[in-house]
Amino acid sequence: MNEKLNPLHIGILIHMTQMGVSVFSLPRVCATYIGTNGWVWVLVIGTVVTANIALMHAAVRLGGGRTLPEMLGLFLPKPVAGALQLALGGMYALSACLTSKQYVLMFELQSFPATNPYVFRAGIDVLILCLVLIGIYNLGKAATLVFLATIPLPMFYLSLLHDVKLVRYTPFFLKDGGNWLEGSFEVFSAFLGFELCLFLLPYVKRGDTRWFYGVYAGNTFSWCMYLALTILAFGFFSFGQLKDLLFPLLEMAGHLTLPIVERVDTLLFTFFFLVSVLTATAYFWMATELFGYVFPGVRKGWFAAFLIGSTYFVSSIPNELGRVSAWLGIMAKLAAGTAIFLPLLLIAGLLAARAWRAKAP
Amino acid sequence: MDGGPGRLIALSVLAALALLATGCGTQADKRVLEELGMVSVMGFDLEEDDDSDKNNSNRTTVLFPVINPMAKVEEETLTVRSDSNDARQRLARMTDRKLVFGQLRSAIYNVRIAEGGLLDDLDALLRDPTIGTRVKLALSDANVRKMLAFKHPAISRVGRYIDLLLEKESVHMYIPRANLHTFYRDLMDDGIDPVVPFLNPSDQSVMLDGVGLFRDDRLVGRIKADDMPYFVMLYSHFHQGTLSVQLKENEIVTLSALRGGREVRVRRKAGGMPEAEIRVKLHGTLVEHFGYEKFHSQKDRDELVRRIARKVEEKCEEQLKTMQRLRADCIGIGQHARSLYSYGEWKKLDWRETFAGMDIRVKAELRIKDFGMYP
Repeated sequence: MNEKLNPLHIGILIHMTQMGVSVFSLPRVCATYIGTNGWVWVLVIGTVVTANIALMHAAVRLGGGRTLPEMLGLFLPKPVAGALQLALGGMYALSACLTSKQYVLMFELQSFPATNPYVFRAGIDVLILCLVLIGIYNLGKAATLVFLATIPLPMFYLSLLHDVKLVRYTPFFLKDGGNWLEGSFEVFSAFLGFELCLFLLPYVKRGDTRWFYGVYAGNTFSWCMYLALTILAFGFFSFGQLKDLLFPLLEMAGHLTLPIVERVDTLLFTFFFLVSVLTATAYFWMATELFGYVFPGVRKGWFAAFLIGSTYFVSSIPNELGRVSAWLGIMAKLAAGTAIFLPLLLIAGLLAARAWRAKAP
Repeated sequence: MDGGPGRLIALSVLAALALLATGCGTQADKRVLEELGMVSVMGFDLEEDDDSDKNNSNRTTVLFPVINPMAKVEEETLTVRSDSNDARQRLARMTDRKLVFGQLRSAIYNVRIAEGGLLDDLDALLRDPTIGTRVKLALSDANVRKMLAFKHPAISRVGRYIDLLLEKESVHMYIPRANLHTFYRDLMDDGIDPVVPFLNPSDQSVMLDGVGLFRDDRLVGRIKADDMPYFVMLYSHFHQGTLSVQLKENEIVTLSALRGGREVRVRRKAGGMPEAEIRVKLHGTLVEHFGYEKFHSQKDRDELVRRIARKVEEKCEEQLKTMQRLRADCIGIGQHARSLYSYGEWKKLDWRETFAGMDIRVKAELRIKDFGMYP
């Protein structure tokens, strides 16, 4: 791999990995768990996520250009590090598969209620496999293309500004919410995808630290988009209505009108297919990388095929939208925990290893 | 990265899947345009049963265009009586077409259903993901089934006619926009109640006939057709409209190209009771003055403007009194009044009673751009 990722591609990759189906329910999550003017929570959690990325940045800098397995190998025995990486890989692969499954079920809710989801998913998985096989550099280019193709879509929402009324925000602040902790987890999980930065080390110029600004930029872009869409939804729907809606942003898309196209929401959601596929692909790619670290002798392509194939069957167990969301919720909590604790572990481990080396003669 | 066998396998699987997928898809999800009955209007009635021991039963009527150049009619109507929610299945058995509801534009409810509460009946429409929430809502005093069957040589499709009528009137003023979204939005907001316009048959066509006022999901009263413009002034901003004001028994002025904005100001009086002032700002052109008079001097013009404004205030306050009497806050004073209270106070407050008892004044400001070509 001679070509290296540049910060722009990294930013777009991070943003596209973060954007997923969870964005459609984000305003409902804020309203249900956080309460009136719950959009503020996107601001709060966005700050937490940025701090989390800063932790990862610190870990990467401490590692001095070492890749993730090299860093882990410095302070963990090989079997433990290997097991940890395999567990992480399995978790990412399952999350990826569930994300694509959730998209399929949502798409069916909208358009093809009687079609068998298994056939549909098999097709998507083949596409994901092809994308994983082309490698991260080409994936970055693909993500850039998809980004350019889909970036006008959120702009359409601005045309609904005339239906936003200030009085619907209500003067009450964070009242009538349910569970702040659960809400924080759910909002945090909408930002997940930034962990990708820990896996990019072998694909950036060695010694160049500027690439990490791309990670910050990508995350900030997602953050701004989430915030804008959530604020818009709180003024467009009444608070009580927002709590009842499964996917408020999809519902809002139903109110968009174009000169010749009726029901833009279906069109928008079909476009979103590409975004959803990229999220799943990035996660599968991370899983493949992790497996590749542990078994360096085996071609990564086989891991990709194995992971995509096996998770296809595992994720076939839940087959209702509610169940898939519940499974995805569990995976998101695990992934969120990993996102927070992995950099902490790395920092602590690296510092300990440094201290130990300094003591050693 | 990994080229070779992996990519080759993936590509061949993809090609095979693409070929297979062309034959895939369930028959149930196939949509051939000519075979569809794309329902454009749904009507709901509550009818007295013939055998008196049974309760009233619902009647569902659907209207869909016939896509067949050989057919003599452009629209087909089907109607079925059913006690439960199985009306759609029963209707499907009555036609060779596959009934689909994705193109549904309007849903019309008989007034008796609305008086008993609309939410249960709206549930089926709200829940169905194929039905968008921009489906327009209307009420009718008449039997909806009979109304949908009306024939007029110039109107080939009643469904389209109703859709355009409701659309035009909400864009050009004089009805508030009412669809599934606005109804549910206002229903779930504790500071405003929903409104839905009335559609009734007339001698020549189907016409708009006032606005229904709701308290929660129950229809409790109405604004008469002639008073609709004043209601809209209190309800929201509007961009273009026409307004005829009867100043005296034989003096009528008509304003055209009318733009309006409303501003609600609320405050608490000494005793803690809230009061509100609604400022209605109107801006338009005078196109008719029945009871012909010339307005050459500025003084005459100012006097006329003042008289029109007073009349507008009077009519608006009449509508407000009606709403206060019905305890239906359909113009959303509560949305503004929330800011006067803490969250706890607001939750404890019986807003309907407070609304019914509070002072609400209307202040109209009128600017007439010109008085026509022969002022």
